[in-house]
Amino acid sequence: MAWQYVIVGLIVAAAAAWLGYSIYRTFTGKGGCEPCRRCWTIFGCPPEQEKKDAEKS
Amino acid sequence: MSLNSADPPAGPVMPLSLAAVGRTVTFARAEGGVGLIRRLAEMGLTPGEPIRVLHRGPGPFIIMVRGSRLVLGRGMVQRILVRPG
Amino acid sequence: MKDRRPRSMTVALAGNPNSGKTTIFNALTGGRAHVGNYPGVTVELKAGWTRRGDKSIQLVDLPGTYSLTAYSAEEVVARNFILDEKPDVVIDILDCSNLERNLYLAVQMMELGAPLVLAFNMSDLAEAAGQKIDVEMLSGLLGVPIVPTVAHKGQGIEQLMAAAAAVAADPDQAVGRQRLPTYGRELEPEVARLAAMVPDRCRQAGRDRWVAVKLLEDDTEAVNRLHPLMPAAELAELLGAAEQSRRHIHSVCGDAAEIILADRRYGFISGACQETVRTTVESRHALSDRIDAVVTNRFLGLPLFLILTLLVFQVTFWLGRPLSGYLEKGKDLLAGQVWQLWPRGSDSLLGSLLADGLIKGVGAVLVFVPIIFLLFLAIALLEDSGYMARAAFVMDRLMHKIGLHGRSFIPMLIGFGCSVPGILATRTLESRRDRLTTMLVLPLFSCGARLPVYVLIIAAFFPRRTLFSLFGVADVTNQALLLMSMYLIGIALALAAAKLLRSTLFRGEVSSFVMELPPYRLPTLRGALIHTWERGWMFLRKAGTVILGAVIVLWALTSFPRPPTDPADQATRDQADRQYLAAAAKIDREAGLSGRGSAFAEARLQLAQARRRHWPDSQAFGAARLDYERRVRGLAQDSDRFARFLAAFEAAGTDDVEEGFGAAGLRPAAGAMLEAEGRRREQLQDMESGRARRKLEYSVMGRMGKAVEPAMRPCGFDWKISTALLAALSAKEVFVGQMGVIYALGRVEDDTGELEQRLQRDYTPLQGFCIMLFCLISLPCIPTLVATWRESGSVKWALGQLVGLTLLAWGVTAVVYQVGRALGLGTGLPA
Repeated sequence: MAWQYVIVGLIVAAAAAWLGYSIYRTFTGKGGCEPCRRCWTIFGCPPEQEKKDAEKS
Repeated sequence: MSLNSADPPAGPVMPLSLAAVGRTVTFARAEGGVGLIRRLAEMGLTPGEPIRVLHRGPGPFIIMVRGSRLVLGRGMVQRILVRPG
Repeated sequence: MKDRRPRSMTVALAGNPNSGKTTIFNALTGGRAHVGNYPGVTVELKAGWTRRGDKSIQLVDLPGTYSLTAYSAEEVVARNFILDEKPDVVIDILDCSNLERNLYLAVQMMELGAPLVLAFNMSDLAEAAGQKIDVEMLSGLLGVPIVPTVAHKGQGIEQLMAAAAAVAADPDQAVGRQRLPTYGRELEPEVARLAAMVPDRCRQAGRDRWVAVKLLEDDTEAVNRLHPLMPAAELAELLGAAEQSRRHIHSVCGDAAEIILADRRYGFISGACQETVRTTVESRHALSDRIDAVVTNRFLGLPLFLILTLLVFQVTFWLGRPLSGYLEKGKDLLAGQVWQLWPRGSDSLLGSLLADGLIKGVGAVLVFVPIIFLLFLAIALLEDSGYMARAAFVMDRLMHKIGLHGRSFIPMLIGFGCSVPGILATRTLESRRDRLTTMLVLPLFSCGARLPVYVLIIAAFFPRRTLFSLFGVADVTNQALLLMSMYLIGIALALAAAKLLRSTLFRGEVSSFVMELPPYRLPTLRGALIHTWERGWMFLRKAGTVILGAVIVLWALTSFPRPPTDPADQATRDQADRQYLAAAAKIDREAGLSGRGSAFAEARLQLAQARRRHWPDSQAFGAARLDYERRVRGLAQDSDRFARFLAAFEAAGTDDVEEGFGAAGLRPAAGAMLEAEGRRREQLQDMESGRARRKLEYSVMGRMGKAVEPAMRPCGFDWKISTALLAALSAKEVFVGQMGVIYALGRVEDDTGELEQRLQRDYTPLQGFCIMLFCLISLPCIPTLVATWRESGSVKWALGQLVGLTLLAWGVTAVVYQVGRALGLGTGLPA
């Protein structure tokens, strides 16, 4: 029964962390991808775009 | 003071708001800020250019200029001066 | 990470709005594009990839513009991209039927020295309208390759790419071949004079003439770009000379320099077209004009618009509801299957997370995918046909009275999909007052995220009733009408709020607008589906990210802390059992069953307990059932009287009368036994619901909800609704998700009602309506707030929007609820 707590706890913590991080990125406007630099990243950029940005910089 | 190789048709100027539907008039000038004038020019409203009135109403007008249809707001219509014919 | 792709080239796509640029972009990237997160907004840059041979090609879709002045943000974005990113080739896509106006942009690109290829798009329409273009000759006159295309049929695309590749192979040579307009004898000397004073860097890049022309046009952006390139003194000198030139031109030509320049460009274009374009018939726009005569008619326009939107909602419901219904049943089935992985009645955490949280929570939202997709499809079809511009025209008169104009309608239309790109689209409005007013009230134009809430509430509280028939074609239901009225209420409130803002904070003249009406065209199914997919994909991605994350967190907050098991519960259970057995014993005595009645009751009790502990199709339950039947059979074989009692018991509740059994005397006894069982079941259910309620109220969410409840009670909301509304700040769909979670966690054994049915049981239609109102008026989501903050440039507007909308939501809902209750509307059973 204890292992269930662990798994559930991890999932919930991951969700909370991701949510918080997205909200943070939305507010600070960081992490938008080229070319628009204006993604409200609460929804995230598609992975290919982020790879492309990494290549560019 | 000619702009084009051909002189624009002579005649008194009137605001576009007075033009009747189906009439073709000639654009003379627009009264307004630089931005407005420039925007109109980009859309094809340059001096001497014929304008056909497609729809007039208490609200916006619809005109045909250089083959495309434009909607002009009421205030705009009053500030565009044209020559009949 | 190293780019292992072989040599790539960058292609920029430019063109007027409505020229088919996006269609070509989609055709080339084949959907492999990063859509800038908010499709449909012309201000963003879209980038995608494609392959030709061994080359990988990056395609950038520049914003649709009519020219390249510094006048609007889109033009600056497009221009700067060409200047700074130096694409290998720029493809300008032109609408053939508006050739001269479309060529204006091309000429400006030629002035800029961009390596150009022209796509003469919609050439099928032009041909059909009797226009003949000598493409080769025109191409020679302009010095630019021209490729005729029919984008929505996919014709000409490959030739276009081939031409682009040829230009990209040697851009400098291509630019060298391009002709430039001359501006006439009054202007050319001025241009030359300024060009000589321009910094060497510009001359080396071949941009000296362009800079000179921009200076004559008083282009502030160009001046800004010069600042870092020249020492201040030289720049001042240059600007002084430019000012001198402008004055000279004005006095000689009688008009401002930019007007003359525009005129000369058009002259250049006319000259080229006169030799190469023949229009035989003027019937080009005839059909469009006829349709417009009706659609923009002073009296017919607005009603037609309303009818059209009503039809859209009706069809969406009609097609979408059945599909949603299947998804709902599937979801509940899936949840049931997941629970069967654990022993029945288990309190497993993981099981709850999966079934109550994920499936019932996120699933509740996904159920609405068919309806949402259908609505987006309808909007895409309307847009592609060109009707939307007419709708803006029709709305303009109404908006003018408010102090806005039809151009504000476009961002609002986008806001119907999602508020955030709508707010971004207000950039197209020139006056800051217009921008702010539109931005602040835009969220009242109900966004797509609210749709699941509306549909859920409408389906739960307002059973489908056909009201009337529209032209004998479509039946209009009360549901579609109700949905439409939510949107209309939103619009009405938005206009009222805008009027208020306009007359207080944003007093000022109404600025005028110019908008193009594209000719009508038959929307292609493929094009519409692509648009729908873009928007729909956004929704799915949102569901898989924000909504998923939020629901998981909310599930945790609604599940913990768990209340300790109340010993009173077990006591209640035992008492119920005892009372049942006692009643059975009494019945046994009175009916003369000599103890078999009690044995029967005990057997039934054991069966009920087994049902509680095991899944219906499990082995254990099967064994228990066999055991029960064996015992009862044994009792019946023993005693004739009991067998008659048994028969009466099993037939009770129906009108069957056993013939020749003389069971009449035992029927009351059987009835009493059934009643005793019923009483026991009720007692247990009461206890279970109490336990479920306590579980919810004990949790974090429950406590927060209870704390907020007093403030929300005037609106008719209890703590469950309040928490769901609070949760919906992350995304409006989460309201549905959270209600799903609450009812899943608060489920009572054996109660498998659907979410809608449960809602209907617990709340009144009036409350449902108030929920919809509150969702409509309150802030859609945090990204909206941030977008307002960004676009308005200061926090105070965003905060003002938040406070204003929240107060308005609370106020309106409270009034509606109180008045409704006082009048007795929608509070009792539905009529």
